[in-house]
Amino acid sequence: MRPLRYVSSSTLDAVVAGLTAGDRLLAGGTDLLPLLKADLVHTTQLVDIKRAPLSGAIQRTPGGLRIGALATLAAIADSPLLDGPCSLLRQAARQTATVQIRNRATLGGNLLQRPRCWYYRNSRSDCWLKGGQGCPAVEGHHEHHAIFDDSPCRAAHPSDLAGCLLALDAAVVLYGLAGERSVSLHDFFRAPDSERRRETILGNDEIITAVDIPALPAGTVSIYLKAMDRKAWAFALVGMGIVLHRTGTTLDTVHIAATGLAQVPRRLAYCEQALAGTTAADVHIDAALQVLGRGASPLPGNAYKLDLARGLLERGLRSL
Amino acid sequence: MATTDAQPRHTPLSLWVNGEYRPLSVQPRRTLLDALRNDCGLTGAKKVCEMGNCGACTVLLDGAAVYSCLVLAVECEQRSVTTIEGGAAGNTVGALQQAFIEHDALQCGYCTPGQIMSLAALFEREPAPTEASITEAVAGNLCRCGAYRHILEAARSLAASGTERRGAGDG
Ligand SMILES: Cc1cc2nc3c(=O)[nH]c(=O)nc-3n(C[C@H](O)[C@H](O)[C@H](O)COP(=O)(O)OP(=O)(O)OC[C@H]3O[C@@H](n4cnc5c(N)ncnc54)[C@H](O)[C@@H]3O)c2cc1C
Ligand code: FES
Ligand code: FES
Repeated sequence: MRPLRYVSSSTLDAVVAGLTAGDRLLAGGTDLLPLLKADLVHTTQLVDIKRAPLSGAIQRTPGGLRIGALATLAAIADSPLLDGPCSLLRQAARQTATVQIRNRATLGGNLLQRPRCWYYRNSRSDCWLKGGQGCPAVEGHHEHHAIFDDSPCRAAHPSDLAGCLLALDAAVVLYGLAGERSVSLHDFFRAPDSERRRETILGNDEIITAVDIPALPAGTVSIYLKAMDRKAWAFALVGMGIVLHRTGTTLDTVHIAATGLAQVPRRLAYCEQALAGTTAADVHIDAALQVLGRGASPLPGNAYKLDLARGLLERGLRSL
Repeated sequence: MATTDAQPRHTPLSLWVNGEYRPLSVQPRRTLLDALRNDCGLTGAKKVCEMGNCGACTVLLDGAAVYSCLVLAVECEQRSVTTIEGGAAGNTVGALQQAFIEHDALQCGYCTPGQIMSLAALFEREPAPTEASITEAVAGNLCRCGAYRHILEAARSLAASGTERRGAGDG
């Protein structure tokens, strides 16, 4: 790792002012430190936001629930407040990484972690996301990569929690030089493009302070299913977050979001449409599975992800 | 890139390691793992992947298991670190060391300090953990010799004696 200064700030204004000067924010460090060691991120000053006036609390609000950016994945996995409609979040946190990582990793850092693509993470390989020309995964090894082609970069988004929060219609609260704003996760994550080789629209002067989850009607149920190369300590090949609500036997809310399929977590809108207003009988589930791949363009080495995703969706729907 | 201004000085750091006060002077980029091994001379925590991928560097930070290769030493000001060297007769780490010896739970021994510290965090919280808790606790520690079966047996034996101790206490 290159030499660094380490500071902490007592106000958020000082933190965001430092961002424009090239500071990097250190939360749990579980993604930032490996990136600094591999020389993929450059900075001369780290600001430890664990000492800033930021919260890690998980609490009820008039509108639903708020999780502070500093909440650790261990705290999310253990929080009884997240039972009921939000239980998929606890399930996802529990299946993320390992105890040692969950004790340190924070929600804010989890949403902003960079892709696990082996070309991106290898400092010797040239890649579009790092400012290079093309994406080497397209012609190279892409077994873990995206099957949707929304960006010149084929890396899949790695966060388990991000997909779940997207299924919950959550929003991030951001603080920057212009003050506070709330951005829905639908808009916060955006596939990288040539003007912005990053996975979010977070401004260069902005910090995540919290995530808001809107209240869901009583009786809402949810599940997160994760397919991995091995049973623990692996990133999702495909992760499937499902949030459902029924009136009588009819589904009036169907939110489905996948991790591992695209450059950013993705709502499976065609599947949702195929199920909304139905009783989720076999024919409706079949219809949803049929449209799951609509718009996808899998590469030769990752078409299996479609089958995995269909399997997870079917299993999830039948269990709820 | 690095200008003179960007060259950070050593920072004073007060650490509590295995109950002992350790005043150090470290560069901000120094990991807790390097500070323990090189500045404190405690080489029990092992340096293998340095990326959070193996678990050999696991120590307790204020009682919680962490990968010390992914923590900066300067983040630990006034905090308490427990390493395998803290093992002694009568404490949890010591009891686990004994159980590992009795169950032949190591071959090369390189992963052992990490395995024991992960289990120590669990046993400090739950003296008689379930099978599922034991498996979860060591899921972040690789053993390239494949001693997993004996590691789990060592943990189970301590869990069983924890159940007995608790049973005796309750009665
Ligand atoms: C071995 C291993 C396995 C893993 N497995 C999984 C997995 O299965 N699923 C999964 O989802 N993740 C997994 N991860 C990733 C892990 O969850 C993330 O590294 C972690 O959540 C990042 O959080 P952090 O607090 O450590 O972030 P840091 O590393 O501190 O920060 C990450 C980035 O976010 C920025 N940042 C942090 N907080 C804020 C904030 N509040 N506002 C603005 N910027 C901020 C930092 O500046 C940095 O750029 C794994 C990681 C490892 C090392
Ligand atoms: S050396 Fe820290 S996890 Fe491998
Ligand atoms: S005993 Fe050799 S790596 Fe575990």
